[in-house]
Amino acid sequence: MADLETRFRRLDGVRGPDLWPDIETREPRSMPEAGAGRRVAAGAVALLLAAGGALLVARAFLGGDRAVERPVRPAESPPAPVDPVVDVTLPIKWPSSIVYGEGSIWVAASANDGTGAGTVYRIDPDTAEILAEIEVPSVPGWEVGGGGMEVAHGSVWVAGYLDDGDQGALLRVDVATNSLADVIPLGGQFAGDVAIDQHGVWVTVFAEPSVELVRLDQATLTIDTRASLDVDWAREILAVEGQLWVRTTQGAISKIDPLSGDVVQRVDVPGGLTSLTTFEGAIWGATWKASEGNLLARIDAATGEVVLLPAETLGFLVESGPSGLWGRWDPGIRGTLGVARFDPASGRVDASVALEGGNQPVAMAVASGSLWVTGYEEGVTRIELRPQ
Amino acid sequence: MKPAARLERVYREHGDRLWRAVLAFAGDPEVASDAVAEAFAQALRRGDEIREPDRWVWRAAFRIARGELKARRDRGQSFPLREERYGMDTETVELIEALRRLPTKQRASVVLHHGGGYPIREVALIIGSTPAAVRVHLSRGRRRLRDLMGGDDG
Repeated sequence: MADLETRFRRLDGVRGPDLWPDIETREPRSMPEAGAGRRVAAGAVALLLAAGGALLVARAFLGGDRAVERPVRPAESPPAPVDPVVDVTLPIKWPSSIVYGEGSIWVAASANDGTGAGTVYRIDPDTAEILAEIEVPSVPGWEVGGGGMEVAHGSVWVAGYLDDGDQGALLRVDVATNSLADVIPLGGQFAGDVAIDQHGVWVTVFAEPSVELVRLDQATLTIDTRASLDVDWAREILAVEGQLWVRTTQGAISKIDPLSGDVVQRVDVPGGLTSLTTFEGAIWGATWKASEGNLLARIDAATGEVVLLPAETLGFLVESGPSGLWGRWDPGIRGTLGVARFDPASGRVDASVALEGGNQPVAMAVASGSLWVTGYEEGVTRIELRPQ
Repeated sequence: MKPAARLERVYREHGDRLWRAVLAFAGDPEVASDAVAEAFAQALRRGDEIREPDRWVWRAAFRIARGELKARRDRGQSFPLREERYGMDTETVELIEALRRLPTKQRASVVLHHGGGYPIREVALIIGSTPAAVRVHLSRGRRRLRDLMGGDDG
């Protein structure tokens, strides 16, 4: 930036005052020692651990009666027009999951060393600054589509495994201290997804002979329900409008009784499903039919009624957040892939942006003024949503 | 060498450059003078316990200036730039005014890297950030300055 360097060199001509006489006689004001904040934080963590039982009870009172679903836009307010602009890509290797919550973007990235361990990155959605890097013994292991991580009630919840895959586990990262606070073994082989509602923390655990749905008490983090889903595969857990659903095959979702954990309804979606999210009180999925091409599926969370909307350029991925319902965008132009916002009323694209070099977005998170996309091997890209 | 003499040498070598960098960061000569004097006074009081006084005073001066700017913001105060006392030309004033419009960490990154000549890793240490984040701050800060000042980015 030649012009900027030149301007700074001009500043070199400005002479400041001789401050040394003031320095020698000045009575310094008090200033915190470097690292004092960290020591205070460490002390607080120790206290938190010591008082763990009491705080867990307190947490139950503070957050136990609130349902947590992904933030949704009120149905009566149309999405504000935005102009998505690719901003910056952070060189994070092997990102496996990304979510938005507690005012931050959270990315789980694998160490890719065969242990399953990795790092949870906390990122400022406005500045793209990495605010914290938290080492964890396991990160979600889905190849594409993200999932396995959720943010609620001051915690980041991560589904993973321990003991080389001999034990599923749920990890809890404390948002206040940016530290790994709990590792809860769940049996089975590995945990697939996690969701939080007013009944507790729900986790799918891959086990023999069936995937199990486990519910933990949010206050004590102990398992209080364990039910077989009678399937050998499961994907997203969706908590929306007081209802709980789990995708139990490639093309079906199952409604769960939140008290017993039992399956009470199954809904087949024509063409199958590749990705699910919740938005405006409903479940939304990406699907496809040979006769109609790509489709957006809206599933009523209360009744299971399915409505299909044409969405010609929708790829396999959908995600939602305060800025609307977004998906992978494949406009059919060779070498062009990106992300687009889909109108939930018509399925039409009302904003889109291509990613440089045809980078394939494999997981997304939607924040208020930005959209975040992960690459397969590397890269977490911020897309700024500029108001029009 | 006694700590006071060693520190005075650091001041004579770094003081002016540090003052200009804090001026560019804070946009106010009074804040720059107070932050630099306070940082050196703190260092003087600490004596031998500071192993790298040059790096220490840079970090301290920026932290003090940041604290003062925040306190002013909290009090709803803003101060016009009083350039006439320091013989600044129009372009320098324009640079400082443009810098004042950047977010804090972007401004600190640009000033330390382009004004202070610090490599990205050092900038990260001084402002308490990561090298990756500093790169982002620099990229955005340069872009914003280009928009504000209308210059080329080379």
